[in-house]
Amino acid sequence: MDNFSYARPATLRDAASQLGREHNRVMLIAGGTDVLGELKDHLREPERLVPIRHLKELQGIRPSRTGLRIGAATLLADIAESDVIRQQAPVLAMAAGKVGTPQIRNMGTIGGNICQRPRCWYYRNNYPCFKHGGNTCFSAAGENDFHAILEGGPSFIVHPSDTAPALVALGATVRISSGSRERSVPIAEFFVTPRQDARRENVLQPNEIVTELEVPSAPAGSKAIYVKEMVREMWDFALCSVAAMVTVQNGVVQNARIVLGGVAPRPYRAAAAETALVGKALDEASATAAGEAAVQGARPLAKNAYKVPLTQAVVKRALLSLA
Amino acid sequence: MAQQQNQNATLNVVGTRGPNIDAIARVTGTAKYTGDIELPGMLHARVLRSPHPHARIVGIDTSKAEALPGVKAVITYKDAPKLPIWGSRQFVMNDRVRFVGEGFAAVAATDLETADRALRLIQVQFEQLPFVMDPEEALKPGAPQLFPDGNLEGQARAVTRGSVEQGFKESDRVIERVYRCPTMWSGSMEPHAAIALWEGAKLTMWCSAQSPNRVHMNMTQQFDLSDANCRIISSYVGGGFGTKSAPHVDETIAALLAKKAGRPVKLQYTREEEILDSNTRFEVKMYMRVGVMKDMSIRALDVRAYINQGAYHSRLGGLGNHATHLYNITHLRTQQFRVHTNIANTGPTRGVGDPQECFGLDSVLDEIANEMGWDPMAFRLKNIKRNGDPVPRGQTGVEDGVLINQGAELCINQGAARLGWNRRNPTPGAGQSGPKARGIGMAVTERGGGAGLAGAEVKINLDGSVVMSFASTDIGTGSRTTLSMIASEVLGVPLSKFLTVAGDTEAAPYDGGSQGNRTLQSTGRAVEQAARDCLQQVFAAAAPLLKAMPAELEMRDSVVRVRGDAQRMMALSEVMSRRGRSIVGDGNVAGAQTGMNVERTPGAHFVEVEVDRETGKVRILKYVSAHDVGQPINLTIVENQLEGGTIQGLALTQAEEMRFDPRDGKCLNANFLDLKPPTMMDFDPRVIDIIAVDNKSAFGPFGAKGLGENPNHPGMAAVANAIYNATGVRLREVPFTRADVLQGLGQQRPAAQTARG
Repeated sequence: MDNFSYARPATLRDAASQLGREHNRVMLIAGGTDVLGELKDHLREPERLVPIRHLKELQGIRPSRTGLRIGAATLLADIAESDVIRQQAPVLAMAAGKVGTPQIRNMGTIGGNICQRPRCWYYRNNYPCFKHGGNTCFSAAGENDFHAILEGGPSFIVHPSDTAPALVALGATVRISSGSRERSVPIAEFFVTPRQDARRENVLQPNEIVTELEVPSAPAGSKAIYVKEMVREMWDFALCSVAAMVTVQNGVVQNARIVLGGVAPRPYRAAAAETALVGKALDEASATAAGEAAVQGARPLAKNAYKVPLTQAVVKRALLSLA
Repeated sequence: MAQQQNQNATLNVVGTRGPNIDAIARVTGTAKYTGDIELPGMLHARVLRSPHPHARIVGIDTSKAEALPGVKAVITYKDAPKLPIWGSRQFVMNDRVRFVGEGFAAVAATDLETADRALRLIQVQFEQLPFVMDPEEALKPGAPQLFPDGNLEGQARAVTRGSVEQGFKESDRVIERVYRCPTMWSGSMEPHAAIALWEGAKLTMWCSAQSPNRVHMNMTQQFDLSDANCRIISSYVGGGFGTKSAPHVDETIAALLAKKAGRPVKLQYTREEEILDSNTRFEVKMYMRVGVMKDMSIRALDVRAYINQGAYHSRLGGLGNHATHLYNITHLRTQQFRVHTNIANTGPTRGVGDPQECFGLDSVLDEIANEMGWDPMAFRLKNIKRNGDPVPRGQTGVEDGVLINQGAELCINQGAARLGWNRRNPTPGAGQSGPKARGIGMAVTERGGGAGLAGAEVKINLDGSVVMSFASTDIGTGSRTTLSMIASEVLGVPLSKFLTVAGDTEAAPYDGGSQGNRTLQSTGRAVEQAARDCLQQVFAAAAPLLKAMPAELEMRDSVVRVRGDAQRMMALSEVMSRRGRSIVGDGNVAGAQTGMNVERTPGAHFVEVEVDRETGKVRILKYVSAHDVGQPINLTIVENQLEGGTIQGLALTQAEEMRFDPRDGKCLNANFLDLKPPTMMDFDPRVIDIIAVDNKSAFGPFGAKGLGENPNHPGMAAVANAIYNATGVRLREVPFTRADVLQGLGQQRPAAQTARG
């Protein structure tokens, strides 16, 4: 990797003040499990790295009025093992536990996990694609086994995060700071489609830092699960994943959240699947219908049509496991 | 490290269980691999590699790189000897690059980062040339040409016996199918590494090699050195699987840089470089046509194979000998076109072409057995060669030899019993409800072993301790231990008294190296010979001291005894100290097989899979690897080899294909995340059952047979056959992805809904 300067800020304000007006010249580093790989592969060549994992403003899991506030620097391993998260937002703990390997979960943070860059092999091999400032998605007519079947185009990356679908299902809010100014963004609006911005995966400005996630408690009586299909059993990104959360009363689904990972450029809320489920008994028929609805509008590429039946099956099974 | 008691009364050490004698050194880090070695003043090297699959370099300017502080030497193709690397068409560096990742310049600097930065300062102008990646395309008229004499390296082992066309006419049923194994990563944990040290005219090199003497041969040629002025040391090697069986470019690059810089240089590949430039497992596309008679005999087999050698590989590269040595086939023809293309260079990998051939042949046999309504196991038992059957001794296919000590039937019967073959559903896919379908499959394999020259030296010191030197290497097969056990058995000296010097060309006689199932059978026989030589010298020295004839003596637990006389004995250490001179014995052998007899090492794999028809996931429920191992030297090591090789073969069913973009020839997945080698979570060793069939060899030391390659062969065929049995879906390309399984099951959406790029 190239040389860079490294300044250790004492406060969030210090850290933010070092960020510039453009992406990539100054980069934040928390756990570094993604950033270091990007630097070593010369995907990005920042002049400066600003470490933030130690900042006290980014620490801790605390109760809030509606649920929990989770500092952005909280380790994925700590989220997976946290009793309070397991109780109040179990789908998030499950998703965090599915990330990478124990080594990665013990370095990687929740903030970093939702801000990670795509794993597309064209991006990672430094092809001049949209993500590198170009005007082509090389997967579209290329080797696209692992690419998007939903919301694709002009870029066909899939969002690689495991925790993001869980956070969308929970209706979390992202707290963002530029040092002088703070804002809150509902997580569903935090991520962007390639049509909104093909260069980036989220709305974060170059001078902003994710500081915290406000995670409402899962509705009383709800059940949730995170299911992830991979080529191998661990140390892999999702071919398809689903964060599913349902509330059943008197044998009828009152409320459902079904969010897909690994199939679209952002965590994909399968609204049609939710609609198909609400008001029904949670059984084989309704779960199958929800699975079919989840891939409504899917437009697979030449080599990823398998993701359609795979996603149907994963959604169906996730729901049935909650019955 | 106590070895358990032997069940065989005549043997004390051979046949026992026990850990590797270097296990603690390896796991505690005291064993020094090439990458661990640091020399005073040592520089670190990086290689500049081609981003194009085929190009001519028309300009190169290294001046900025040379000017960078910390850079001590820069070399380009202009500095490289114009001599092909041993067993290849490749020069160490050339002005024409033929695959993405081929090196053409290199830098040595005081640290890796500086070397890396210097690479980026080298300015290169390429003239891009048309390229070709598919072996069949490469043979068509008008295809881009890699070499002046074309893309066809030649045919490997063309066999014609009888007339296949006549045989197909006579057959009751004939089918033709096409199978493909892609270019796949070979799997060494330790990437290629070399350290070059010049002292005057003498080159000493530490490198990660399977055959130090082949590297030695290449270095003496590249640098015009006498044999004495070149020493190659490969003491500890972290896997090779064939990719390190021939000299590689990294060794010569390190030596060129060290010579130019006047300082020692270490070149260790990154993981990406190891995948792109380690001479990986070659692609094979097989057209298989088979004809059978109603009596279940195989009347004719026609095999046409296209072997994608990559840019330069020219040594090995054919299919194995399953068609000629495993099955009785009346009419046989094999044609194997070895073709150069602009993909990563290839070479032999565990089994060379055996796993590919086994996949093609044992798939097509399974297909025709199913079509005929035969039990695939009964079909194989009907046709496998047994002792006394004719087999070829040479490469032509003429059956001028006789098969001996063949354990194929033993492996099939024992494996089938262990898995429970009788549970197999004779109608594929039938009678299973629910999303998960179970099925059972099998495949049979074979190989030879133990060829070429081998040498070893055994020295008994004055205190009775033993130093054993050999120039093959222990690449993780446990040969350091098994070779010591052979010497220990012969001498009657406990293993604890042994020190081994492995893989050092200066310390040991010539040896061809560790590949092709040969170390135990060839180096092992040299060790046995050297130990017997020592033992005779010990008896000669002890006889007058014990007032006995040498022929009356025996040695056990380092004590020389007069047979039948409990009173007359003397410790080896005392014999040696009275003798006052150390004893040196040497052993040299050439080839392991003699006369009309041909001995092979067969095996049979049985597997039960569960196919998830909704997600396409294939799970191994139970796997049995039964192999004819001859006399096991160390049962623990035998089982370890069989288990490891089996898992490596199963890995090929799941992933590990190198993916190239056809538009620019680049490999997209040259890293562990995208190549997806399995982890411990994928193939649970507890579902793998090992059967070591004890079936003694006529040639190997104490009847041992070599077996390192074989467990890698049958996985692809056995799993494909089991998936078919479970679902009725026949997969003819590895790996077996979710896409393949789901597509086969017809669960995909209609193609009209597919938006293509």
